[in-house]
Amino acid sequence: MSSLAVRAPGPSRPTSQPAPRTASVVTEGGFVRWLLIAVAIGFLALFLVLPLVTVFVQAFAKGWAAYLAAFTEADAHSAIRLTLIAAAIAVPFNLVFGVAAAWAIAKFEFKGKNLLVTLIDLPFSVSPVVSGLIYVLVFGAQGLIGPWLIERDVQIIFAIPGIVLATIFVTFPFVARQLIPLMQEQGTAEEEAALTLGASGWHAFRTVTLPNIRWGLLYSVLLCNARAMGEFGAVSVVSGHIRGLTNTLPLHVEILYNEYNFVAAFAVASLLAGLALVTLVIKSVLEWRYSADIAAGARRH
Amino acid sequence: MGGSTAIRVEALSKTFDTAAVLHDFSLDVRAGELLALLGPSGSGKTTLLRIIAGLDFPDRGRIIFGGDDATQLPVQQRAVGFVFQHYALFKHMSVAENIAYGLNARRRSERPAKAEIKARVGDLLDLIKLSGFADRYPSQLSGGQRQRIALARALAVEPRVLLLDEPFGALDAQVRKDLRRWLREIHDRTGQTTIFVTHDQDEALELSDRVAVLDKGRLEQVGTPDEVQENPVSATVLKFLGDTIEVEALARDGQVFVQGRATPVVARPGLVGPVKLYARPWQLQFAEAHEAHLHGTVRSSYRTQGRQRIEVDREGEGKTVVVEASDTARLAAGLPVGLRILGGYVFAD
Repeated sequence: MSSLAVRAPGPSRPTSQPAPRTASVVTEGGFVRWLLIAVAIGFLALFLVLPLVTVFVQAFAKGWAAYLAAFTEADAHSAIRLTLIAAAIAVPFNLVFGVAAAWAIAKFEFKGKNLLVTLIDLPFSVSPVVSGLIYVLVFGAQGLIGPWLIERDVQIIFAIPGIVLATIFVTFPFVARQLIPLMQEQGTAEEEAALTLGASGWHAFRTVTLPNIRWGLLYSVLLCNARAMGEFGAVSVVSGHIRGLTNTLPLHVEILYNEYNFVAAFAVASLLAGLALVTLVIKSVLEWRYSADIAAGARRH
Repeated sequence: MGGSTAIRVEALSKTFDTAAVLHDFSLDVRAGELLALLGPSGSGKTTLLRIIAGLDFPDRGRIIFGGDDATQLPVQQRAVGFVFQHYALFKHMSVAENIAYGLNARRRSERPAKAEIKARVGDLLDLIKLSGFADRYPSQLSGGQRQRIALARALAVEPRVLLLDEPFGALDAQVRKDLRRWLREIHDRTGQTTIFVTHDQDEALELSDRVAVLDKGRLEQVGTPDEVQENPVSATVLKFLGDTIEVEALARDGQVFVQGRATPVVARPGLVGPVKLYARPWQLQFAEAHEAHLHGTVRSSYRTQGRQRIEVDREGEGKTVVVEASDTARLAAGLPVGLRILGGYVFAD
């Protein structure tokens, strides 16, 4: 054995021969590589890291006490509460709708399927301001069914229901879009197997379909929640900016900023930035750990 | 065999979009038999299996299970065991959980006790010879092992019929052969009525008690492997069961002539005039020119499993025929040869 080991080629390779190319053929020379990396990092620093740091620097500009004071006032409390309420209604709604739509599209053939897929995408292609305006035109005082509702003391626009509706609209596609390709890829064989084994439709859904999509579902709910809490445009149109009543966190930030109350504005903004960071971390962990179970084929986000 | 009828398929018709996949299809499945549904892709065999299982529904016709009309019965109540080509194991469940799924899915009042389920899973793992695998996950198993688990899962609910859809289609050749033998053994031991779909004639002929040959949504023939091979009812069945050589022939007085020379093939009474003669590669023999029915030149030859297969270009016809001979002397390309027909089948042109 040892004699064989001695005969193995290795360190005694003649130095005149060129070293074997270990780098991939699709790579570039050193200078180009560093330049591209520098551009990317510079861009990130300027447009992402710097603003993020600024938010926290401004928020703490007058110390801890001033930072905390931004959250103790009643308007801030109600803004946080309203944001949580809107998310707490919109996210479960989209969860149920998204799973139902993805199920219908991935597992069944029916007429108008392509139209449904296109409609689900609509909120992504429409400006949020337009989404908000749609609700004003329908439910507003001069709107289609607004007067009828107001007569019966049902206030939608400039009230919590309007904010919830607008939030639901803009977050509509998140869950369905994520699950449709995932469920299409998984096909129907496992469900069919469960049915032939005597499982009811609901039992098969609970024990087979849901576990198969759980990570993709969690991932999409996370993104949906981040959007629901951060939505500004659509909510701004329907809210009416009534302090303490119809202000969500993003709207509260705007009001404080317009009043030149920078510390409070950035303090509240830091809360949203914190939410974004937490979302990013959980999202990355999910992608790293369960990438195959989240998206069909490859990563999509 | 010859048991009572377990499943009766009666005048079944099914159309997808505009394409008919089953036409007025009838078939009896005997209790305890291993029946192969053999046909080319698009012959309707998988659709038939899915209709029997209750995963698809016919436009017309009935499915009768042991005397009861099951046509409208939902899949859950049919008590069938279905094995899918790509296994369809539950990825997030262990092997034991997969096998126990059907028992655990039952209503509480009908569900066996935990210990009983565990014992049944253990018995089934012994049966499929995967005893140590209870806690593994499907992703940790080979294709052949997965398909055995899928079979155990289907058997766990004690189905009245086992339905297998191209069960070995996704496996490589060697594993396929082993699993065939293994499935035959399991069937002999359990006596479970079994229907399996395949497009592989060797698989059907080796494994089954009876073969049903399907073509374009119709039943061409059903019989034991020997019956369908010895007495194929149509050229379609004959061609589907193996390589054939097609020759223009003439039937007269019960005899069949090729190029004016008599062959040993016998024509059915009533079959007179121009006919088609079909022969298997081993029903041809090299012969001297004055005894030969066909003439041609050797195009190429190759050896497989102790036999030699020779492609011969037929004179004048521009057609190539394959001849099988014992692996003796190798014939050079371009050599003129004569071929004598030793046997075959004739059907009206």
